[in-house]
Amino acid sequence: MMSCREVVKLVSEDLDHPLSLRRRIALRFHTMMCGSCARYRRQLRALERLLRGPAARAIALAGTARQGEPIDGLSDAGREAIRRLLKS
Amino acid sequence: MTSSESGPKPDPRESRTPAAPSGSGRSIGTPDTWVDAHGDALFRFAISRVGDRATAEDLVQETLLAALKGTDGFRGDSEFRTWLVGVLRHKIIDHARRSGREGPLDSASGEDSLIDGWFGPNGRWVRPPGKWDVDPARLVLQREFWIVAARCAQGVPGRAGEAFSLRVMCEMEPQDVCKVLEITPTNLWVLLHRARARMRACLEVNWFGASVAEPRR
Repeated sequence: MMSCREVVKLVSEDLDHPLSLRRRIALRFHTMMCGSCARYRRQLRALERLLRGPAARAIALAGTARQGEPIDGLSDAGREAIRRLLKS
Repeated sequence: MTSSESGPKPDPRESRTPAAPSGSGRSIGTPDTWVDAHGDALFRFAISRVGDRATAEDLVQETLLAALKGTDGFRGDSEFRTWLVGVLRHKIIDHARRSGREGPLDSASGEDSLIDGWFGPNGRWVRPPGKWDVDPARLVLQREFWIVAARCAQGVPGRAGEAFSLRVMCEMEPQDVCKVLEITPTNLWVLLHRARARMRACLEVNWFGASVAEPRR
């Protein structure tokens, strides 16, 4: 059986690319038996869902944007300034 | 391709020299289209590392101006984007160095003090993860949570932090993150594992708190 130390690494890898069948089964089997690894996996997956994606970014950046500015990208003024520089 | 990453900062006045690049120029659009095509994506990476909008916009501007110096040999937009992100990455690192906020260098070895401290010699937990009494899904609308999360992400040092920003906050595909950081997929999995371990630990301390066990929802 894989150690917990090896399993937490698989928990992360599982978020990035498809694991081989062997490793997938090992991960599933281990987390069925081990409450701490299962909890770690739940927490990491929840955070990943939360932190990924445009909604999360928009809210994360909302505090840094001025009133009326786009919050998930360049400000209108910044965009215009760069465009002018690239054109000239 | 130029080595403008390491070169001197482009002077805005120089930007009038090369107009539309020759050859493959068409496949990546003319320079005046770059800011709309790539500006926001670059901005998101920059702000996730520097945390300040004005600085992030300046770095994006420097990056796009640097691209004026040579854009030959790109096979289309996504390759160009990856290259731009790589240029921006070096500008972010230079910025951190200039402002004296350069983080500790990360080792490429198998050692990791945080994760090592979780396990005993047999690879079993000695400091298992604590219970979170908040349902993470309910945090989406809490602004304070995001401020803490952004600070935690910026606190992940070195390439692990860069990998996390690119992969999770900017949703870049792993193979592109590998190109930007010039690492193999195996390295990337290790860096992301370390980064997530740090994000989780940072949020546990600063948000989820040392919670007492509570019935599960």
